[in-house]
Amino acid sequence: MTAQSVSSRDPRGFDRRKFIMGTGVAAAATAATTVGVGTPASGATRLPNPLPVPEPITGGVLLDPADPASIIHWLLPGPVGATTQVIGLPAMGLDVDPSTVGNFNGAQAYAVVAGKARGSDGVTYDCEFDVRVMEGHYVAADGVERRGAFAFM
Amino acid sequence: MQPGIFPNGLFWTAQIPRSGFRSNRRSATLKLRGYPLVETYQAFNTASANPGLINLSVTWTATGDEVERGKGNTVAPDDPAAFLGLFRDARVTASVEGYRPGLNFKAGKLSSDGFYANMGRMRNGSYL
Repeated sequence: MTAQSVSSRDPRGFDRRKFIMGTGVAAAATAATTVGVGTPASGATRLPNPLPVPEPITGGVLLDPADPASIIHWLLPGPVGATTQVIGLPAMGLDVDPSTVGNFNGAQAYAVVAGKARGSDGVTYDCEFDVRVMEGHYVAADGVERRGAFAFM
Repeated sequence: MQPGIFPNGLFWTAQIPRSGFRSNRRSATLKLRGYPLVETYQAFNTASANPGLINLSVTWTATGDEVERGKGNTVAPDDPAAFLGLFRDARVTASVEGYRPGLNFKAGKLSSDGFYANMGRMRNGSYL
């Protein structure tokens, strides 16, 4: 995943360029050649019947401090001073909401994992993945409480 | 690869089957197979989006005692601490395989070592 150029820097030390480079499921470099297209193993996860989209958390990070509309509803819990393993995003503290789903009550699991990935192009990439699960009750925009499971990835 | 951003701002978050996630007080697992996502070469640039599939297996193992986190509705709703939770620090291992036209990748030995992971129960928003 290549980076878009973003000039501003959060006074908390949050570098938007680093964020754009690598949150979610991402590799540190793009593919240069096509070697072949494999297919995932059989036994694909059965997609659930769709639920109403949850509301996001109210807070988040401004990609542009001058533009409130640039907010992404995502925070990065972790010990102050720590940085993610590959991209180097700074943790925001431990009293930081790990959910991306708002109006939520339930089980939550959060991790930033890192290691090596082997591409079908023969290249080994450093990679980092931020993965979170929110499973429980939530209230969508229609005001109805439902139960569901959601993953940030 | 990620689920995209919904019009209401929900960020890179997709519904998953409840059967794909299992948790108790000391461990949790997330397993998805052939799950559809979108890969964007430039984040937030949907013009560069390609469809893809992912196999994901993540295991959380609690390493510490339960700790209260968050400040609930004693702070503004957009404050990062506007939640209440009871969490344990965790160590996480994971494997990920991604498939999309032109490039597949496989990452077999990922871990949370060097940064942070946790698990527990929490509430935010209208549940505070």
